[in-house]
Amino acid sequence: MAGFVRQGEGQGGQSLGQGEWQGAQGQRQSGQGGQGQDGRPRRGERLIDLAGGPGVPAPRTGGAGPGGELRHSGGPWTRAAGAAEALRTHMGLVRGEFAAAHEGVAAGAEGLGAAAVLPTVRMSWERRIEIAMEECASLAVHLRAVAREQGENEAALRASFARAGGGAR
Amino acid sequence: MNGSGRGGGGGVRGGGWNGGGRGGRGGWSGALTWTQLRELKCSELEGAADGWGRVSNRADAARDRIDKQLLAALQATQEGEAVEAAGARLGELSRGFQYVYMECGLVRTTLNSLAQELREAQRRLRAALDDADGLKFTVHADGSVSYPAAGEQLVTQDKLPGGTTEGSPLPRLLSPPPALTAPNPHAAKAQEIADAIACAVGEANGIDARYTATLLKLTAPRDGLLTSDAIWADAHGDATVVRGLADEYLKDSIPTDRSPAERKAWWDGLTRERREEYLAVYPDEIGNLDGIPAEVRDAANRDNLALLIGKLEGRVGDEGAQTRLAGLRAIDEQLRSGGHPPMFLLGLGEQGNGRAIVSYGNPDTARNVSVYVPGLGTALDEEFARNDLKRARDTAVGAQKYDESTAAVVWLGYDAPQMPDYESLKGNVAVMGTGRAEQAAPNYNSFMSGLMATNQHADAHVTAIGHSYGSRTVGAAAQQEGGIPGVDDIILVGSPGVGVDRAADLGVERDHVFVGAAENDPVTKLPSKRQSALAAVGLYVAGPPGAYLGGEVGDVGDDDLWFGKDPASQSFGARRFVVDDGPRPVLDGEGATPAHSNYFNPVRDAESADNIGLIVSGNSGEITTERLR
Repeated sequence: MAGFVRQGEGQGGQSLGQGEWQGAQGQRQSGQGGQGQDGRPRRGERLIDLAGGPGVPAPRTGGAGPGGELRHSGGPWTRAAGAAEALRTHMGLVRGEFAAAHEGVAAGAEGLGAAAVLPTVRMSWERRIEIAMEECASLAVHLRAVAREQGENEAALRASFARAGGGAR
Repeated sequence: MNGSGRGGGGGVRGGGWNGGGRGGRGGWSGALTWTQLRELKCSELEGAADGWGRVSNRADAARDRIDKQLLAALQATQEGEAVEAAGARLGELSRGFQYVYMECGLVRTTLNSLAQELREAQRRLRAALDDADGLKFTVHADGSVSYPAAGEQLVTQDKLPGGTTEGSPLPRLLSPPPALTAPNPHAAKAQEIADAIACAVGEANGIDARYTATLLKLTAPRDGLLTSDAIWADAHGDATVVRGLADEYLKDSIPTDRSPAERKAWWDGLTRERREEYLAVYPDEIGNLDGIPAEVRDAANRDNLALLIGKLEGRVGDEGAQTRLAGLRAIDEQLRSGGHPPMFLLGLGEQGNGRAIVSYGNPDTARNVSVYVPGLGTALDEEFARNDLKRARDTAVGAQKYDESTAAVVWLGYDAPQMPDYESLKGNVAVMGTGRAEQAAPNYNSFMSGLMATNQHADAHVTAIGHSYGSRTVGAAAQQEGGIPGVDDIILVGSPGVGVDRAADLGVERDHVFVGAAENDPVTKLPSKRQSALAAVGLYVAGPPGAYLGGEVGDVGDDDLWFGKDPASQSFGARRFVVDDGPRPVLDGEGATPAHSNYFNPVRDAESADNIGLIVSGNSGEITTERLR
């Protein structure tokens, strides 16, 4: 099993663009109309769709798809890894957003003590968010490792079944 | 900055002078001069606030994504060590994002509130400068005001010389100065203007000092990704500080004294940004406000839950706090584990014995909604989090067999009477007055009224459920003016009486009142007060079994219970549904009141649970009925 020991290594996760996050923004406060038919909030629906959707869970131990290929490549571990990378990308936009929002503060609030300390506060959160992004990247690496490992197991299993005259199921 | 940017005072000499604490009441050394205050662009602070709002939302979306997709998908389809390990790290990451979401939300409101307060100081400064301008006075960089010669000497008829006056933000003790000679008519006005300028600048510096301190407090801790209890306790403190600043900016407009329907209209009319601010700063207020949509309350209460856990964590040695903490943790665990039907945390509080309102299923979108009031001995503790929540969940699952569109709520919105002696009825009887039920009634009805305001069905089917003392609470709510808002059916289980003698007095037709009373549930046979002397003898002589038997004997040929007519009796006139007799008190070795706790349980009393499911789903015509007592 791939270990989930917290590590610092990063991986540039760029698999999903920021557009995929639009559906997730600002839904929390909408109060109305943000629900699916079962009453669950619809936040973040688009990424679910991209990831295959929660309504179609992959089999617990992989298995063969309709074409005979192993399903693990699109399985929950790989999808989770993709989602973790997308999270990293999503949070990566914070720095730019922060910069744009604070652009006029120094000139527009000269003499104000609050404006003078704001950069320090902002940097402290940028740092914390960066640590969270590193964790997303590290998680993605490990999630992919599990996916790979499971895939290998399934492949081995399938081969042994084939030798024994059974079909891969 | 250049002091002559906007023709304020007639001959302003350039800026740059440091106000030197003139009137600066706070610790900040009055860095802001009047020219800087005049030129201050409050909109830039609001622009920065928007940026913090966007970052806060990003973190919220990230948290949501982890909880609802990553964790949920893995846990639903995978098992084993890998999932557990990944789940633990994802859980930490989710909490980390929740923390970022909440704190950045606080920074946002701090900046908005700062902008609003400074704008008011700036408005008063500009008004004073306009006055000076109109009178051709000169406002100097240090805030002093010069006025021209005017008026005339009584004797020489010469013009009175002009002068310069310094302002002070403090009220003048001596006014007006003794007039041995006629003063320049401008002198008093110049003084007034100078004072107004000093006041505005002093106030702005005081505001700046307070908000600067708050912003510094909102600096992120340096210890990496993990959130600890200490961090959450600190977050609770941060929220409290920001509230102190933002009360004027935000809180005053929360319509706590309005009807739930009006509150909903208020919420619907807010901009998205304003809603986000309320959620960030007052999650406890919004989370408990009847009339606010369930999803919003749920989001607010989940945040408040994290803060409350952090706060109570610090109260080591406070037994009550630790009891509630255990309850909150157990609720938190269930919320985080997902599951179906989805949970909505509709109320939360630490007052009294604690408050918690939990729904299984969204009560705003469900066609059927039941609201169950737990009874005797209930408090926000671990037992509540396990047993009473399960009753609501069982109700939801049972009813959804018949109509998928069902939500079931457990409402601990009051201080239920506690049991000094849990194992005996003696303690129960001693504390059972009607006071707690009467106090709870308006709160219960307010909650129901809120549901009516937010539920999206015009013809929602609503069931009020009272168990044990909770049935007395439902009875009290039914007797309030107008009865229980929106209620269609009433279920009373394990009831010691409800305070009325006839089902028809509960505000619905008598055939919409349903009673579950297990033969071996002694609470449904508590003797009336008239009979209690006899029961007390039994208690004294033989302990709980004696009390039960004593009550039983006393009850022969009588249908009065502790709180009035037995709801299962002929004369009460409700519909009695079939429940299992249940184990006998004490004699069957399961404690004093084992049959009192099974009504909702699909394993221990399948028929009762199914009957409740039928009623809640609007299929009461199909219940199995039992002969009335």
